[in-house]
Amino acid sequence: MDEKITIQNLIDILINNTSINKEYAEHFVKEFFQLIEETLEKEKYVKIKGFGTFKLIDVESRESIDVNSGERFLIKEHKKITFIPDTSLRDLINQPFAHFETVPLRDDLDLSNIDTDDGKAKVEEENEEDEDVDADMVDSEESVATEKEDAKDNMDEKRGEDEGKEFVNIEKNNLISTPNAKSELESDEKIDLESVNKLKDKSNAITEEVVEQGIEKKQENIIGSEENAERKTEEEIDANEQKKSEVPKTLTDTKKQLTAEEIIANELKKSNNLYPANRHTHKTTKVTHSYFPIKILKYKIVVAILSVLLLLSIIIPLFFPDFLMSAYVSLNINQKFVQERKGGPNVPNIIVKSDTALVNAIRKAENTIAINALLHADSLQQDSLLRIKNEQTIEDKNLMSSFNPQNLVKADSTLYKIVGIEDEYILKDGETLTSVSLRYYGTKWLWPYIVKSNSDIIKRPNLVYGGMKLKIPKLVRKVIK
Amino acid sequence: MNNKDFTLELAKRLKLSTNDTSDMMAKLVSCMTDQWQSGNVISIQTFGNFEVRKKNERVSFHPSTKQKILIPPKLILTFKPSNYLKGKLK
Repeated sequence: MDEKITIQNLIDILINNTSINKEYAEHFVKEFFQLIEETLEKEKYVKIKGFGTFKLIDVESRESIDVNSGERFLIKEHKKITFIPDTSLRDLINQPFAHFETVPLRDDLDLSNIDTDDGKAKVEEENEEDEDVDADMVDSEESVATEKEDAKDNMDEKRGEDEGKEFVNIEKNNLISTPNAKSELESDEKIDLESVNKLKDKSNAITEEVVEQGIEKKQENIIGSEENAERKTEEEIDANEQKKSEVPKTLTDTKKQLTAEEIIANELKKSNNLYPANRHTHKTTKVTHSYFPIKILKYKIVVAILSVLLLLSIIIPLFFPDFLMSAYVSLNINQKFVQERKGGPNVPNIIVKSDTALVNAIRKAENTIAINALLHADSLQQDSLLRIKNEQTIEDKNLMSSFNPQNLVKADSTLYKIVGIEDEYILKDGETLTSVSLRYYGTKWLWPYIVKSNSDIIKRPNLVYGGMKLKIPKLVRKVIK
Repeated sequence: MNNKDFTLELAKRLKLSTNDTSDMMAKLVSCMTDQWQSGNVISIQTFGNFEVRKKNERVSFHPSTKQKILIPPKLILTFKPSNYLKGKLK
């Protein structure tokens, strides 16, 4: 094993195996390799049956980078000697490993783990070469099983069509869950309202405060919905998980407020001062009740439209980067919706100041606001947390759009190859890479080569400054074979 | 130059019959194969080194079907030309 056999050893072995005299064998072996050498020089191609093919291949000159200095230099064109063993010889050599077969792998395999598994398998194989293929197969299948679970986890993080579907499902869940919350609130507040109706002027002042709080909440919601427009699907999923946990919280909060009011109301019951006013307010509540479902419907529609627009603005740039502009338009539409909604909360404010008798009606309005708060207060908190993230993603989007021009490079820019450096040029203010390309090559479409040879200086092709020292590469048109 | 031409040329140089030459060639190759199979390196000074190397298994993918495939380990005969031969044929 691992012995070095010289030409002399080879001759000896040949003599031992065959009954020929030494001089003859020596002459033959030397002549054999001599002839291969000579014919290679002459004809560049020698084929020997049972042994293999020797070829002399021309290697084109190409540019390379010095590992130590990092400078570009030219590798001159040269000739390369190749040897391809004959199929019969190849099979003979590979006999110990002949039982291995190429195995098609499933698509969901995680390659990063496979590589490490293979590494272990390699060691095993080297120790016992005649190991069964089946054993290896079992190993790989076990790893597949564990990796599948990982893959499932990873799938959630991935973006794509599946993501879109998930998003839709979650939206649906929201729509289903929120009406339930509303009905609960309604029933709670109906009871509370009846007791609150018996409040004095003092309690009216308290409700005013509550209404104002509600309005503030709504305004916060609007800020939240603005951020909603910039949201990504991933964040939406996370937000929804937390939403579910937060909905009960808000429910209990509102209940607390109302129970506090109930206590005041019970105290006031004893004095029995405001019975006539009660009847009047009861009527107004009935009137406002009829408006109630319509408002919910409106908000439902607005939420639905917003979610659809969100989906579009996320999916379109993902699949058609060229439609980024159209996506921005849809974002603008979202903002318009938000502005329309901003007008809403100012109206109840005026009513509060004008007439205290209409306080109950306003309280109804407050209820709707509270429901809206349920819809959005949770997302509000999420959004404030995710705002930083959103800004980052927007920056990423901008980066993506700024790199778009590279994709639009014409086919002309693939027809040349860089062969050394022709010149150095100091960029002036206001000059772009295309103008430099136009100056040196006569066409502005060859600027990617300048970027390529100055990749250490130019980080973004559309962001070059005056005073930059650019290396202008020497280009040679590729020979089309 | 194909096998036939090579054998004829070698026979001419050695002043042998073509049949004898091809016999000898087959014997030489089988001798060398034995050496390679036992893991030895054949080193012909002016010509180059013939060595059997193990190529590790790797994951590749089928270009047309895009399916990932595991390529098994292989033993491959490699030839590394000597500096003398390289310099001569440059």
